[in-house]
Amino acid sequence: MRLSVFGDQVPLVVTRKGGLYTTLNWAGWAKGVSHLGEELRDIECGPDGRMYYLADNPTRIIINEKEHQD
Amino acid sequence: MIHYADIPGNPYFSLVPLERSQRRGIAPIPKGGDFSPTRLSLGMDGAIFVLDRAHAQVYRFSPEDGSQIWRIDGTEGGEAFVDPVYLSRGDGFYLYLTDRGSRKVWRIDYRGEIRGSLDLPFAMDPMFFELAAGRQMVLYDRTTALVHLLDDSGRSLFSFTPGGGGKAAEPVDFAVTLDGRSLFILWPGNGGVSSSDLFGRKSFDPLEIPAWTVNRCVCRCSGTRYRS
Repeated sequence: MRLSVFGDQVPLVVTRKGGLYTTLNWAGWAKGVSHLGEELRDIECGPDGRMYYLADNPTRIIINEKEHQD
Repeated sequence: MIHYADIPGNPYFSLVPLERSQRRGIAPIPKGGDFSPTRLSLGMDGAIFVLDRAHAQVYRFSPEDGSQIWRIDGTEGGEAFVDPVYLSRGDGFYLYLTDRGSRKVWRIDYRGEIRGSLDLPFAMDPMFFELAAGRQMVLYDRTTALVHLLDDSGRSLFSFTPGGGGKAAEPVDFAVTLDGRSLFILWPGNGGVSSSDLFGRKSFDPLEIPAWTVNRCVCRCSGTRYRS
């Protein structure tokens, strides 16, 4: 599993196998579970407000063009 | 259209497949050799760095088309990387590579040139390393299980034992907020995520990662976006 943080505070993002990732809010609630439908090796919250995924098969970086919303 | 996969007792739960139209994929195809990336790192200016731990190499890719800008393995600086495990966020000039094999943290500039290493005599097994506020840095040492707050030369200013995860647990991952003032640690099992400031003062009780976030509902739901 991997951990990443958006901006100056939460939400946190925790990756899971199977391309799932979990977004937590301050209180520890899981706000959402998202998936790309493929295995992820890593995930990063970009300083530009976008999410970046290191995906497998084929190996590539996927950028979520939609800016994150708290 | 928004689809929510509501879970009883948790009104905040939603399941969000990322719509293809929102994706932009770039394909890092290194020039020659195998490629087995393990960790992604981003610079404040959009720079993309990737660590290939198996081959002990660091890459920089263009965010525009995924083309490889450079690749290094440490030999450029006279000492090959041995077991690089963690790549810090880039600050616009440098990023830092934690090498457990050599017990060093390498400073690498954005042109792929190695600008020396930090002298860390107090760290027997440096694991995670991130930039913090005020030109400081944060290091987790696996042997001592301590988080060190470092000055810009690598001198330890303060250290503390991070809370959460239990006595025997080792952190799985580590993150520092963009302002460099808060630290988050992901613990294995049900340890959840703990948070503190740079002096070890706990921000909140460890956040739990609910097991129900992975369930069979995942396969049946679809949607385009979510908003809590």
